[in-house]
Amino acid sequence: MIIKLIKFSDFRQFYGEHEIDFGIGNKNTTLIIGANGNGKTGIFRALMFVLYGDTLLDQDNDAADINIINLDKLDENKNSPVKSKVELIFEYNNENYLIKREIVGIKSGNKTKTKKTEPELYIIETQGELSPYTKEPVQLFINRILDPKIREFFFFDAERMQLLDTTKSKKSLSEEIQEGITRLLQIKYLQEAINELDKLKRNKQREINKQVNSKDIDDKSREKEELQDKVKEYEGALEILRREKRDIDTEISAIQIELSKNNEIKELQDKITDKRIILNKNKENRGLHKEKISEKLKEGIQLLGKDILLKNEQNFRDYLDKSSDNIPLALLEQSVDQDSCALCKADVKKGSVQYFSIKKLIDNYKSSELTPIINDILTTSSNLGPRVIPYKRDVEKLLKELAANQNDIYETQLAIETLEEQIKEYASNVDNLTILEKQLKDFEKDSKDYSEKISINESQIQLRNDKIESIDKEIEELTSKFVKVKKDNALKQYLDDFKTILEDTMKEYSYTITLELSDEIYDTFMNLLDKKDSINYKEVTINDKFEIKLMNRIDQNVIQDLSMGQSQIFTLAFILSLAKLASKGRNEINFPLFMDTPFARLSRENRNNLIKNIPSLTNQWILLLSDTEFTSNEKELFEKYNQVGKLYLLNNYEGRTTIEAYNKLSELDLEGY
Amino acid sequence: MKMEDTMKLQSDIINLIKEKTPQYSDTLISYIQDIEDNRVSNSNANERLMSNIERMVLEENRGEASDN
Repeated sequence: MIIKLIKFSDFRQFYGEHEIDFGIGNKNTTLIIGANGNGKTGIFRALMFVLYGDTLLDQDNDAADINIINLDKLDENKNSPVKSKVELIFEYNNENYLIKREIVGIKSGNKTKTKKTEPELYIIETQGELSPYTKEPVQLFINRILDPKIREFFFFDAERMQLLDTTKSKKSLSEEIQEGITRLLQIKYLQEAINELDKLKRNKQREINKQVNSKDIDDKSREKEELQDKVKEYEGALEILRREKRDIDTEISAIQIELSKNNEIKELQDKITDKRIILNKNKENRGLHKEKISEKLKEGIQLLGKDILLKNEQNFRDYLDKSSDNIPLALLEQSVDQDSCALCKADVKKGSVQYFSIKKLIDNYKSSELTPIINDILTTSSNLGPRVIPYKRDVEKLLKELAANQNDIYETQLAIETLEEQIKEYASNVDNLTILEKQLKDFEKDSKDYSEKISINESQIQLRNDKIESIDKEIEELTSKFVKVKKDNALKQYLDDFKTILEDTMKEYSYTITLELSDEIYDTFMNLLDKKDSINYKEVTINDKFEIKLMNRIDQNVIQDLSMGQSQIFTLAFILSLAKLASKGRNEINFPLFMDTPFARLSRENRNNLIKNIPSLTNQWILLLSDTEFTSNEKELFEKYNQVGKLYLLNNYEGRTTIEAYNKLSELDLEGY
Repeated sequence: MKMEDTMKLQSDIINLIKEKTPQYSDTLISYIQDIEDNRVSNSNANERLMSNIERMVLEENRGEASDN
């Protein structure tokens, strides 16, 4: 479809008659520039009105506020009908058409009543004459050219259009995307054809069964129907399970992304845990050190007296010399008992002189209480000497170890405090982190449960489908024996074969086309995105439910993390890719890309990429730009790529908009606009 | 209806169908086009298909009869 010319009269801000030519061919870009309120969206409305009879756009909140008919004209003609008209000339399938639509209004007092007329469609013949198009209702024809359910993809209101509009529910988002893909790629119609063939086949089988009138066949047919009902039940349940699992998996992805953002907190927490383990160990060691030192000190008490002992050692020795109990009583008694001297080993036989001398010493033995003590002191004193230095060394070592341990404890405590300070910066997230981790665990468990239930359902369905297949074969065998149904059996066989062919076709086609679409979306997105952003993304994937994911380098789906501008570009990439693949072998699919305020949310580099690439990706590119979107940068780029076929400026004076055409970009000067 | 008036199928679909059933690809392609075409009801599309299939069955039977 190529739009060539739009004319409108007394439509919205446009008092009187106006028209806009659109760029085509290798100058397929049309620029319509105007400040806010000057009527850019009015042109968009005119297109929607003439093609679909829309008087409202999605952005309109209150129907009562939207006046299609020019207000000044209504005021000038109070109580008389005023007509607002839009005409569009377009080309479709090598034929030129004119469509017109009107709305008539009468203003009475403060109220205006309006009525739309039926659209008129004409074929524009070679010489320019108009022939009414009568083959079918006009709206049917227009809907066939561009299905209303997917027109939003091509009439792109950038303020509103986001494929990933988070204000929409997930269900309606995925339904919209699925609708777009399955309609444009014709998967929907393949499926419809398969369903119809299935119905035809069943009907044919029922006819055959009636003709044959066999109880066996009737019984088997009944059994089959019961199984089919059961399969439908399971399929219904399966659909719900799959949907719920998808929702859970989406939550899981979202939490994982959130958690990965909080990895820093987790790392800090792990570090703190490690440090605390070290701290506890150090404290344990400190306890052990203290015990060792305590033991050592007990040992050392003796050494405290060493100097005193040394000083008095001679006095003690002198005392012992003087005392008569130098020889211990025990030795004297031992000498007598063992018949030999305990000291020199000389014989001390009983009755000998030596015997009686020793006995006399024993009898007269008077021990000094001091002697054993002094002996002990002297022994201790002599033992202490060699022990001093090693003892000092031991004590020093223990003290050093204790000091080092204490230092470790101090440093570990300091490290923990520092980490805790860092965590305080993420204070609010710490609690969330714990909650998220718990939620993730719960969701993962739920997802696993759902997988199991889905698997059970699938196997129940498979079991029954296998049984149904086997019953079908039995029925066929039974019926094939009846000659009168031979022809019907042959017809049924064709239907069966066609159904199988289309099922195989759909399976292969869906698989390959969604792969191609994923690649095409990714390539286009990369071309339109800022270079610095494009390195983050690895691929686009579309699953068999037509859910789109944008994967980053670490295999996370980050589609919900795109900024508004990036999301808009992603939507564009999706639309352009879809149209490109859908148009293989079908030129009529190439719709104009009509964009209302496309640049508002985009960076300079994004805008540049769009201006450079879009003219080659679409049949026609029609841009409604605000004055702030059309800076000298954009002007230079449009001049550079030389794709602008038509250029208009909308001026508004006292509420009325006029359209000023320019031949060249260089003529357009927005200074003081 | 002129060929240009009918809904065209994406070329990958056409190629796949031709590959799988060179003999009956036209019948199948026309059927899908009818299904997609909102001017043609599904029941009309089915009628057209069934009359094509009946013709095929008749031709087959004629062929078998002449062989006999």
